[in-house]
Amino acid sequence: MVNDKSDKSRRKFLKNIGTGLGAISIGGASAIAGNKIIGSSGEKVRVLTAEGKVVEVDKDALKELKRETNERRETAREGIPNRKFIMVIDLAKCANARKCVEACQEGHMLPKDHEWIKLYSIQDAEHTAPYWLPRPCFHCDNPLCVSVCPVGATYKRDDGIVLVDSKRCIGCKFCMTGCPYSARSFHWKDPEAEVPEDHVYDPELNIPPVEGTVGKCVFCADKLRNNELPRCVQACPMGALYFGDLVEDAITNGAETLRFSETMEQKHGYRYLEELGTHPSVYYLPPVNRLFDYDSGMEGLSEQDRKRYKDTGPRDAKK
Amino acid sequence: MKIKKYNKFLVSIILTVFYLYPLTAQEKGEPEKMSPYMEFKYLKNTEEQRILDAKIFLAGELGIIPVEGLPVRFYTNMEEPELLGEAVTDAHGIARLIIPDDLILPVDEDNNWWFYAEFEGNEQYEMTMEEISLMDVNLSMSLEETEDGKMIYLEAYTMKNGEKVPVSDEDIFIFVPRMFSLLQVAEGYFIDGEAEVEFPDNVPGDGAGNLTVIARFNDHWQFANVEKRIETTWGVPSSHDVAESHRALWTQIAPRWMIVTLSIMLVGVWGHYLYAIISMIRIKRIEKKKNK
Amino acid sequence: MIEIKNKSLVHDLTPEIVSTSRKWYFIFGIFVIIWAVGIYALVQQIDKGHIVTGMRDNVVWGIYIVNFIFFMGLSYAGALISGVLHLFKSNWRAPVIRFAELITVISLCIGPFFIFFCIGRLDRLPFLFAFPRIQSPITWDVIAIITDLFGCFIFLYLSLIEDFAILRDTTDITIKPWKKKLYRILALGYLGTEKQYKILSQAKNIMAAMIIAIAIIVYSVLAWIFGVTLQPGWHSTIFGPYFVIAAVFSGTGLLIILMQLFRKIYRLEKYITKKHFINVGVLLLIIAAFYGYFTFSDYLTKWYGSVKMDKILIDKLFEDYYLMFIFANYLGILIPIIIVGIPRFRTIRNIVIAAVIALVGLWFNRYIIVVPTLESPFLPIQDFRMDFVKYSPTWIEWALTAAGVSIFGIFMMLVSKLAPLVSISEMEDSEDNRKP
Repeated sequence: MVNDKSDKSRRKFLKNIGTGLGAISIGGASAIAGNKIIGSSGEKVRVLTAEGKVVEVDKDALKELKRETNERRETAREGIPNRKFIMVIDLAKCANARKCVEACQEGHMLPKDHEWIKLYSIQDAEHTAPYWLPRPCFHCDNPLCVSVCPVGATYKRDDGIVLVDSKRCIGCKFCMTGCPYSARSFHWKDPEAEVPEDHVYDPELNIPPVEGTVGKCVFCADKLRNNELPRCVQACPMGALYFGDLVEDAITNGAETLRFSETMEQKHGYRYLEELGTHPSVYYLPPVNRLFDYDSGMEGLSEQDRKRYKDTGPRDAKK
Repeated sequence: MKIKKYNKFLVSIILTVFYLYPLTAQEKGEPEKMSPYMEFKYLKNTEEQRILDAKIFLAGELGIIPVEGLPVRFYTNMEEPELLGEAVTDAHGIARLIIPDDLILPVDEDNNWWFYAEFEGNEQYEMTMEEISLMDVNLSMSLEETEDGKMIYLEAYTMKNGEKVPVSDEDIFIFVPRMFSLLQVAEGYFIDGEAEVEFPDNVPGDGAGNLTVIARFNDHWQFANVEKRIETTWGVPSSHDVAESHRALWTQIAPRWMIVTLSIMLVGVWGHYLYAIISMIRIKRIEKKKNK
Repeated sequence: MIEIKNKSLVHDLTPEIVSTSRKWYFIFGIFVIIWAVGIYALVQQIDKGHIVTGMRDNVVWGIYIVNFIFFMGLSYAGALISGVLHLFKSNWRAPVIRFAELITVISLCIGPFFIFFCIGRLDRLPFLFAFPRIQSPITWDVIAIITDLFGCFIFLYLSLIEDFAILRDTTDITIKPWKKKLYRILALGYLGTEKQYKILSQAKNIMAAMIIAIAIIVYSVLAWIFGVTLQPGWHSTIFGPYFVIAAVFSGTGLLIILMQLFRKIYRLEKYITKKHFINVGVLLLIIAAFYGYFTFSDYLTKWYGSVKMDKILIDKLFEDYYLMFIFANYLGILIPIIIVGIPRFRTIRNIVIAAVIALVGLWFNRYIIVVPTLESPFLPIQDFRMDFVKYSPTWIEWALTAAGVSIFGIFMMLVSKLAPLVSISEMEDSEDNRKP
């Protein structure tokens, strides 16, 4: 028996306990009701809308949306054929502008404190210089996060990208303890994100964020299908992020296109914490001949961002 | 070709060329008029089509935001501007006009063409315009695979007063198309209308080694963008295939030894449980027999 | 018909089966209230999301997982003690063995619930069975726990068959008719014949051996959930045996506490004597020594080497978690050893105190295994939100912890209404010295 109360907490309670309707019907029903109905069979189904109202929806319309979503989730597991995506980050150019963070948050409807690409201030040793380290998900070739997922919600595709299927994730957070680079974030509360009415869920874009599931950088796999660069790469004003394909041996930051193998050789590219054996797909170019010095990264920061870098955390070089 | 100084300055500041999605309708509809920028480019492609691209965009916080749906008018002839045509900017903010092949464009005293693109402005956006002037060049390319390597032979000439003038003292670049952009692989130099470039041996192509070779004057001060493309098999065959039978900790199917070990252990343990349950059934049976 | 030689056994060991005392209702009521508060906390958590707990993006596993390991550890100790004591046929095992079996089964039922509290999407729990990935240690854990639960339940039931038969047939105490009927069904027609006795003991022996093996495997699998990750402090080769030893330690402590508790409540002084306390206490001492050895070994190798992440972790343990560390790894080990080791200190009261200290120390030990590692990841936590930097459990997590403990009490009390907490048949056998 469904209640007419538009009590938000009650809706969430029912949603989580699982009255058997599933998230699809709750999200899609309010959208589909009254709109395009595909193949009306005449059979109606009573569902609970997001506002807590009971409506009658054509059963076939619901089925269609669910079928499309499942199809999209299947293709997302296959990946783009004959590609192996890599990212190269030139630490000499990073000045902590944080445009990559903002572009990513905007594109994926993330709350402002969720950072799928995160900027660290790192100082490796007492007599080495500090530098800014942008850290997206490394899409490792030996991903520990994928190995430990009990339900296969996170998977590695042939083109190298590791995705999370928000419709399968049970929120056990084992992948978060498995990742040595702390690249994953968890949606601890309802992100309150609105999506268009007939939105089909696609793990390659991974919106809307789902409460109780894990999210991470997806190398903007949705953009890659259209031969466009990921959002962070496009947004970086310094051109520090390069993206490309290992098979083609080319990387670009939008303005410059370079040969990957040459860049690695000439600038001694390396991977972070290589000894862990995770084989990341993100390479770094050491911060030599820096375009911007470290302190320019501290300028113009908000108070809370300044606070976070005051203590460089466990890797404090002084110790 | 003379490009307005501030246009180049703008482009070099905003280093990205690719686009974010356009703002939603709510964000566009602000009461204050916005002033967009225009980037005006000319390209002569491999089929000798002359293409004018006018891109209108806003310089936002997070980079370039292209503006869709704005009408752009293209003119030529600095003395007496003639309308060439009109186009509307697409989702990428680019309004494209292809100049008909048979249309002969007027040249000025420097033997240059002059083009002018203008967006008049509307309630939301201010007016913006750009002009470029460039010289037409005829480029031809042929390929030959010799013992010394893969050679590209290029010829370029301009026409002045009906006479061929060979191009000299100019750089030309060889590109190959990659997924997001063009990769420069070699460079040539025109002397007396001819250039010879050796194509490197190590450029990855597709699975069969197919590769499109592009010779291009790239953002040239005089010739703008002129290119010639030829499909070849000069690429190194490369592909990325993960074997279906590959099994690891992170693949969908577990390694064989894991499945076997687990099965043996489970069968062993639950077999003993079965024995215990059977014992319980036997105890019950004995009672039944006794009671008979 | 089962005949018992010592009639007083039935009388003394079944106080709650005959009638329910007022004391029972009172204590049961308190447990139910605590449990209800826990349910309320759970509803809050499901409603508002996991943000109401103290867990955040770095410390993603908090005291829910600590409790999970803790309760699973208690269960293992029960399995080991009842299994080993059964196979070794020690005479003094009789009054203790039923407690051990009950601890096993009840904690095994409670433990997995703490994982459920930690899971973000409870409505998708069936996915663990619909889309399992064998490579994941959590799948191993699910399989192992189900196997263990089944096995321990079978073992408990096998040991209860004789008691049910005794209660079914007894005329020394008045039992309500519905209970009599229940016993008739549950006793599986056990009549004490030679053949039945043989089948039963063989089954019990096999199951005793099985549950020892199963419990070792289950607890090692649990340890490997941590051991296979790369996190500093977790990536230790010793974790499997270490967790097993720590588990037995905690369970033995609980066993001593329960022995004293029920001895006092039900006046079982005749059956649970000082000798039993000393015997189980000696077990506690031996395990404490092993546990101390493993702990020392683990930390020595971490501390001596110069690996940066190990050093950061140990610094954190000695700075932020100093008190917990001392309590768990020094007091928790030394006090039980001293109390049981020195004959002058070996009183029942002191042994129980040692057990309490051991138990609490082990909870702290689990805490400092789980939380400090997550607070010191490879990439520093550079965050402006303090709750993301340091973990502090909220009232909801404490309420659910208390609810877990109270459920343990509730189940124990409910079982006491149906089955004797000290095995009548075992007591009978030990007096008889009847050859099994």
